[in-house]
Amino acid sequence: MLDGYNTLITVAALGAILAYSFHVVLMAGQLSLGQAGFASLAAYTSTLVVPTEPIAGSISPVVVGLPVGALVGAAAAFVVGLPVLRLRGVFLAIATIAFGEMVRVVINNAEWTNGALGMRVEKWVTFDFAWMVVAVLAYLFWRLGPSRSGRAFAAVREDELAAGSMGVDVVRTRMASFIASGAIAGVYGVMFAYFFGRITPATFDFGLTVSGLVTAVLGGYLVFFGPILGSGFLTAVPELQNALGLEAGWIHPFVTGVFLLLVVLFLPGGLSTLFSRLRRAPMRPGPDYAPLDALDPLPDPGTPIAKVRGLAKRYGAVDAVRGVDLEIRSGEVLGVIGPNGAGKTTLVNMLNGLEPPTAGEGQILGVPLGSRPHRFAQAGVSRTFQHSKLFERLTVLDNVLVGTHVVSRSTYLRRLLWLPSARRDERRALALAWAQLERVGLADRAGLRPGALSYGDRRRLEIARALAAHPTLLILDEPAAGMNHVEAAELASLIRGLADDGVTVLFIEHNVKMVLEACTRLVVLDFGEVIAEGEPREVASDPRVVEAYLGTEAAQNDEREEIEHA
Amino acid sequence: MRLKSTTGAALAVAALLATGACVSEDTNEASSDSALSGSGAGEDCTIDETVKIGAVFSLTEAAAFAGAYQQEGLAMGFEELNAAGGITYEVIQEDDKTTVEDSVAAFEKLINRDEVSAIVGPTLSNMAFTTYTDAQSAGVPALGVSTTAEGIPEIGDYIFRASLPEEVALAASIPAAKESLGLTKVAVLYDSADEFTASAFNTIKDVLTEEGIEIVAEETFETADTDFTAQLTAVQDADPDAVILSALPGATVPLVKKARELGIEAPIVGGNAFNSPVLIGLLEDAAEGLIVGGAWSAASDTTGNAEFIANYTEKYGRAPDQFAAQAYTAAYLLDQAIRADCDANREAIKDNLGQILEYDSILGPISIDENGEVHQEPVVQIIRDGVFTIL
Repeated sequence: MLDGYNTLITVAALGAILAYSFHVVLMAGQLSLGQAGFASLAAYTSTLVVPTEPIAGSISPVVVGLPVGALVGAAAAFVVGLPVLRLRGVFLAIATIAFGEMVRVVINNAEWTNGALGMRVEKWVTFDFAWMVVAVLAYLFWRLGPSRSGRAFAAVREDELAAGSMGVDVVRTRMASFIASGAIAGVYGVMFAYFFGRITPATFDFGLTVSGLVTAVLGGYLVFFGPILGSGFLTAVPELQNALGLEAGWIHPFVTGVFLLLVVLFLPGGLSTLFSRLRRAPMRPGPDYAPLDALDPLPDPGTPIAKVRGLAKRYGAVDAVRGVDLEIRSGEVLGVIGPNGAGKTTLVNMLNGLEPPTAGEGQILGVPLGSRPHRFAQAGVSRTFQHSKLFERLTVLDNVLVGTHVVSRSTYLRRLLWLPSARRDERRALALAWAQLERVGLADRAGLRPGALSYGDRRRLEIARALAAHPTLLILDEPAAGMNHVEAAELASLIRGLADDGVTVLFIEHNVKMVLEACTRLVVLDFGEVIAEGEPREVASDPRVVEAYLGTEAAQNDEREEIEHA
Repeated sequence: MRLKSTTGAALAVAALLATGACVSEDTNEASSDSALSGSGAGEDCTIDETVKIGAVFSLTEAAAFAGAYQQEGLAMGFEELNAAGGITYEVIQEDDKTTVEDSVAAFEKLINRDEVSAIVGPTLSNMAFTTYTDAQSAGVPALGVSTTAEGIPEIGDYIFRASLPEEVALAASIPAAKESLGLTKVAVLYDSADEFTASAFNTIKDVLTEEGIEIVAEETFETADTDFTAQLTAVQDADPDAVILSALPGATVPLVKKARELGIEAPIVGGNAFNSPVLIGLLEDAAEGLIVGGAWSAASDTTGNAEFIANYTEKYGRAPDQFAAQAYTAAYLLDQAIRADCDANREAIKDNLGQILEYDSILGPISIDENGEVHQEPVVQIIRDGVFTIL
């Protein structure tokens, strides 16, 4: 039936496998290009272990090579990943390319690999075997997509800071994607060796990396079968041209190039964009579900949850924060105000681990200062950002689902086995997320992307995402910025509602009216120091505060009146 | 419902697992088509059916410098044979884009879909090592016209080549250079990242030992290198009588130019890669004094060589090189093999290609032995005043 097309079909499968090794790092936003090196190491190592005769009469000996290849690729990725994963973007790309070149040169000069002359092995890989491997990979990625781990990958890709603040261990997630990429590249190397029956160091050169990357980008990462789309497309286009009778040698690459350009220009998510539109709109989970069941109870009102002493942050000669002592008790709504540049954002960044303090000691919910953000998030600190950091390419609902990371269990492995408990956990996360959308009034926009939301809605979405983590301490960095007074009033009542539910809120705000309405306690910062602290109305009338805000004596009286009227 | 579709999927996967992980030992029974065997013998042989010959060359990408000449040479050869009558040939040309993947796919297409009688090509040994195992197991005779690396005919009894191995070309040019230049110590430079040049290096070493010539410098570089200063300085310091170079055309030009620039005056001895008019054009003055061992020379007065050069130049608007000449010869060799029994079936071609003895071609008298290896006198040339001259 397929006589004469075996190679084409198998080459498409191999292309898809290679593309999956890029797909998995692109999913997590890592531009890692060391796959040729991993594939090469795995292919050469597999020649040492794959038996020369079929196992038990008819089983392809490559079944021995695949796990070995995957293991070699994964191990190499781990070792390489330890130093290079400190790098981002183009620097990571360069470091990983360098690794691939190193492997090529080493293998070229090693004795046992037979140098540039290469090695010959039996052709044990048939086209159905290759597609079986593709099917397994597709299955793994299909189950990964809507799982907790899959969302963590997407969150890291979209915004590492926000992902960390939502409790995703960014370093570990990047490493996981890097190791998975190494393992898949290893599988590719073994498949390649035993399909073509021959490997040379030059097989795994930079060209291989480029073609894998192009296939993965062309296919797109929006659906789990993106790499198959990409590989199928790149295999089919030259064949179609042949079928149409285009002969000249240069036309093929030219036409393929034009198609590639069109896809990149008009389908930024690759070919997968065409399919991602088919996805069902998110729906409200069934009413039979009480989402807040089984969540840990929040601490009793009045319990101290954070205590820091002498907190300081110095940027070179600039003291952004100087010797701040702060105690936060459960159930309070603590406002932090101060003029621009007073160090408010630096202060809260240190409280959730985004910036390490230069000096000071203390703990927030039992996590010592200076820990990484996801540790704080796991302990119950959740936050929004002054300039909203939403996951722009995820839907509104998926943004909030990332927020549930710290209060849900990993579901990926259980999803692979279709265990009912995984389904239950996913439904619980969905119900939790949906409840937050309803709480902030965005449930009707669950299927949109954040880019389609108004400014105020984006702010509310960030709050919903932070709330989905079921936080003990919620940090809001200027949540009302850019809101009109109606929206701000709604926000103030939302914040008071949270306090009634037992959530402790720390928020930075310029809108004095809102601060006075919502806060139970107020801290005023100026030039990195606490200049006043206490009951909101008393603090607001403190002359030092007024001076810090307005600077001149002349304007003082008018403005003070305004504040008092508010 | 959900459960059912899941079970279905699981069953499908299980079925795939059961079949996919197995290796089937399918044997190709030699099929023969009686329409491909004709009447008469030798010169008078006529076959009614068109004889399909597959050709796989690297027409685009890295090795296109050779593939284009090969395509033209082969096409011209078969056009002449078609004009001569008796047998009608159809050449099905495939481009392997200088990649193993496309080369394997092209062979499979020619073997299974086009069902050709024989295949000429591929351009590079690198691909031949993979594709020839397929041709061998499918029982399709394959004739290489530029696959000069060690071990190609050993792949099997369906594999032949009409391309003088690099080791023979170099083995001839080194003694010839020794004789005319009186070499006692040489420097050897080779591309260690390419299997073709790396295997040639082994030959060079053997020949030098045999001839009692001392190696005073041994330097390596990689195919994609562009800077050879370090290696050439080492060569210069060793002050050799000659430099022996095993490189692909890409590196040859900058390397030779650089050597002359640095003031290395010693003659440079090279293999097949030097044997191209294009190379001389690119090297300009630096080409002077290059000694080239090869399979063909525009200067040799072998049978039909002058007509070949004239016809080729008229047809394609450029002078032929060794790649064109060898591909052109391949057409005649296949024709000889088919006419021997007046049978264009794969088996007959395989049986008769290995019997060609002293066929008088533009490369000179050429033979192919039963192992598939070519035998011919190599031509050693030196470039003087920008022209290839027989040394």
